[in-house]
Amino acid sequence: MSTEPAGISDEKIAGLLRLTGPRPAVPVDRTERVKAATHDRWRAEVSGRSRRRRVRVAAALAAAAAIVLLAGLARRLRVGAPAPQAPAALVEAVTGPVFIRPAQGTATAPSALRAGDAVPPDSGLQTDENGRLALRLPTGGSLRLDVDTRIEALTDRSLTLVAGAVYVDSGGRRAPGAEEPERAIEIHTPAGRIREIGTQFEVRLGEATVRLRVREGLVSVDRPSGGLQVTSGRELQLDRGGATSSRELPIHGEEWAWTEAIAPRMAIEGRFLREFLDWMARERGLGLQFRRNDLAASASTIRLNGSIEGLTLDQALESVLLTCGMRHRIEGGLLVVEAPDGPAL
Amino acid sequence: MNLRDLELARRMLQGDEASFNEFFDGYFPVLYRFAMARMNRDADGAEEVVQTVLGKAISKLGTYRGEASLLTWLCTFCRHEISAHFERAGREGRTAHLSEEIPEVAAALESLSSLAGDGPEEALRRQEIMRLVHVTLDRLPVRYADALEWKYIEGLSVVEIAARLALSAKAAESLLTRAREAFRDGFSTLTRGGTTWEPEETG
Repeated sequence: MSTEPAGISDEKIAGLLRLTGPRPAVPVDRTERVKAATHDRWRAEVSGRSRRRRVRVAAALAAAAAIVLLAGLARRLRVGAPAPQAPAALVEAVTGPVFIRPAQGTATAPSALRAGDAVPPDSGLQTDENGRLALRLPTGGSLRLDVDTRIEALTDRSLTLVAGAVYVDSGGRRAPGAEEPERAIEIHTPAGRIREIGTQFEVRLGEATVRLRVREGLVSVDRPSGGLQVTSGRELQLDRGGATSSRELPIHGEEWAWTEAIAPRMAIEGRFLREFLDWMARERGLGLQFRRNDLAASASTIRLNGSIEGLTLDQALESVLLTCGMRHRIEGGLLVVEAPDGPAL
Repeated sequence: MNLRDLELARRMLQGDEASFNEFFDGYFPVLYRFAMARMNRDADGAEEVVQTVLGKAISKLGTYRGEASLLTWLCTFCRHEISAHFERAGREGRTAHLSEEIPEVAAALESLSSLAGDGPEEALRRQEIMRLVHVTLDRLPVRYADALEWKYIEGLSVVEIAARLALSAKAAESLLTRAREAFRDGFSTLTRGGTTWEPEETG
């Protein structure tokens, strides 16, 4: 008999299988628990897709009708029956315990949140010393809660910060001087109302101050004592008496580490490398530079497979570039993509 | 292109209950054993990880394009989730140390003839071979693996296997032949340290 596995006979296969016995079965109770949870998740996903399809169809129909009946349709929409209450946000990522407290007047007790949960309007959310949370807002923006944070009255465009820190990424840069977005996100604090104007920023509540750090774009602050606008790369401290101080702030590095830790990971399957690099650079407050033109061209044609779930941003960047035959360096606020043979050329 | 898997994903997204059952019943036990082997037999941890993996996979099912098999796709999620589990627990996992994932595995499996030995070394080798046999079965199409177990472990006849699979006896015999071929290919791939083996059910 040959000892080479490739040459094993039918009899040897039979012997191996008899000798090893059946594969270990999964305990029934575990199977039932996981199946029930997975089934719920699947039904929710199917329902969500169906709802999104209906919304798309409805939008297309509405657009077609608008061509001939714009004014009448708008009037009918205004006086129509109220739409069912839409969620204020969807949970994209959770680490550690995070609790939701229903809107005031509802009887439900606080409960733990999991990825995929919908957050009803006017809810309160709370993280503990180990908990962080990333939410996707209907506007497309990302809202992240640091550890030991509490917010109240969350809607699709506003919240009240009671303790801790939140980070807002409205999802894209706006041209200088562009109009303030109709659905800008507002954060109410003891020192005033903070409103984004197409940006990434953090608001942290201290014992007697509110600290605002702007990573990108512009943020406006409305206070009884007068309005302020804070630009990218600045930190503003506001106390409750109205005094302010500010300083320059790097838009990348350790100051922003917690926002990167809870950042929902991009679904890279089928996406171009360039899209991934743009996302990565934005999440880290970096500019993107290719050491050679051919690398930039390749990045626009290479499609990615797999997933970066569970990886840190560093691990994800390194893994993806490795599989694409590239590497990176971070220098001077830039994510530099280069060939494996080094920065020359 | 894994058209069978792609079709399963498509039917699931349309809300087909039977497809969900086929997906869960086919992949949950495999993923659970996959996680157990990499998590020091931590059953609670494996259950938690696999539940998370299945939830994430379902939420991303619309992005599945059939370029890899569903099992390979799910195992990618599972590896990441296991790493995250160990990171949260503040310790390093064993995900990189399984023998079917390193080329040196062949050395431990050079001689199948030593299976009859009684010493501790032979016992360890037997355990490793048992695990690789199970890994090989888990990587086969479900009907192939089931048919092989029914035939050689439960001792069912071809006619009985045909009845369980709702096939003719001739078709069942043919399926068993293909199952043995796939097992042989898979086992030899694993014992050579390969990791990309993805058999597709044919016929």
